[in-house]
Amino acid sequence: MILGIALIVLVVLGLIVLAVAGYAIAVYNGLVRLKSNIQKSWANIDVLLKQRSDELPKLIASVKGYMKHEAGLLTELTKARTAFLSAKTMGAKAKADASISGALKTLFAVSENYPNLKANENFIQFQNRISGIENELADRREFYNDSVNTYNIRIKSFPDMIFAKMLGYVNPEEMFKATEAERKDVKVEF
Amino acid sequence: MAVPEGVYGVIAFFVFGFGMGVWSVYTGIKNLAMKRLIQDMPTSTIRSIAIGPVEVKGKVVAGDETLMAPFSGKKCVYYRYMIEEKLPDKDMDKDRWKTITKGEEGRQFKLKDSTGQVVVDPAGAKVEVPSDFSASSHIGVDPPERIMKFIKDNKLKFENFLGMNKTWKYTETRIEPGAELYVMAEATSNDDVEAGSAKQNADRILLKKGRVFYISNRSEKDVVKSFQFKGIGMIIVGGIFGFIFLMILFVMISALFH
Repeated sequence: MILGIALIVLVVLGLIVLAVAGYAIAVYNGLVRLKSNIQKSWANIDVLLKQRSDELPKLIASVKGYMKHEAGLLTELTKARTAFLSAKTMGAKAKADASISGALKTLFAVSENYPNLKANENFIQFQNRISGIENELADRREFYNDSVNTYNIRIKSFPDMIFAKMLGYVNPEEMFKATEAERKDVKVEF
Repeated sequence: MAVPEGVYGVIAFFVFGFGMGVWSVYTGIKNLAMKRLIQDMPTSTIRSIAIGPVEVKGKVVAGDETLMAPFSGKKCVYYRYMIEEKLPDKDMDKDRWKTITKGEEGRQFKLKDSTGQVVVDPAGAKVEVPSDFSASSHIGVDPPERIMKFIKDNKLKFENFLGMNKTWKYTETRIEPGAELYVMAEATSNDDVEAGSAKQNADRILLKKGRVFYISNRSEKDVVKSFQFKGIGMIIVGGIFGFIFLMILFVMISALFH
């Protein structure tokens, strides 16, 4: 009888240990997946940033002749591109990305003042191409932020936070934030 | 000591019961893992889909080819059907149904959201769309005409040896153009698209079977709830029954050896 009860207690304890270990493995695998999602979504942004950066010299070349009074803007764009190409860290790339996006927004708005440029097929083609990349970038930034948000919530939620702390997943990841320049409306003077 | 007659049969029954309990717990865990996977995966807009596992939502647009559902005759991009026969069962009050035939077929379709559209190949997907078509036939009641034709084409016998109709049930599930879908799939390059001909990123992508391929017409919230409900339910039921059966097995085996 005592042996039987001991056996039942042992089985129950075994099942509890198994359940806790299984849950810890699930949490660990989940955290690894979430981290990998963040890295992958950043890599997917990086691909588009590189594509946009490759398009910029062609765009600048196509507008240079028309926008002689906007030399400052074009220099700003070139500098932002150089900053992106030399950026090594994610933060530096994100900063350069924000500068390029801001400068492009201004450039396309200012181009309204140049009817000849607006009619130029080359320019239209580059504008469409870059606008397309910008739209995709906006979606992927949002996707990145969703990935980061899911991870940050997971490492702060109970009971996952217990295992997350034990496994060293403690620091929340940073999201993409719209810069002051991106939030501002571009003034176009006609 | 002589072993009582039939005891091995009883032991086999409890071993089977314990095995079913373990299977139920395992399936429950898999359901919870799927729930986590869905929760962990942010939804992509179709315009910005990247290669790899993706989750998208959108409306079905028929591709070049469509199908006609075998029982309802409705235009669709995917269908699944099943014919079951009611079996006589005197020992139990519950009806028992035996599957006579079942099948599914799908064609590539496009999924469209506000940002673009992408091609989906439904082959190999786990499709969870509730069946909205069912018909039956029994003594004095023939199946509808279209189903009768299907039965004849597939050389199935729906009458018994006396020439009377067997009790058969016909169910069908479809994905029709215009349906709102939730899709979790693998985004790959679409080999059917010529290099350089794609206008948008999504034009060169094909969603198909990868590690996970799940299609549902429910919202993501409902899909998560469903996996959670199934997962927890199966773990609790399987765990309780598995444990009880295991304990009975212990008691029986220890009694046999004393």
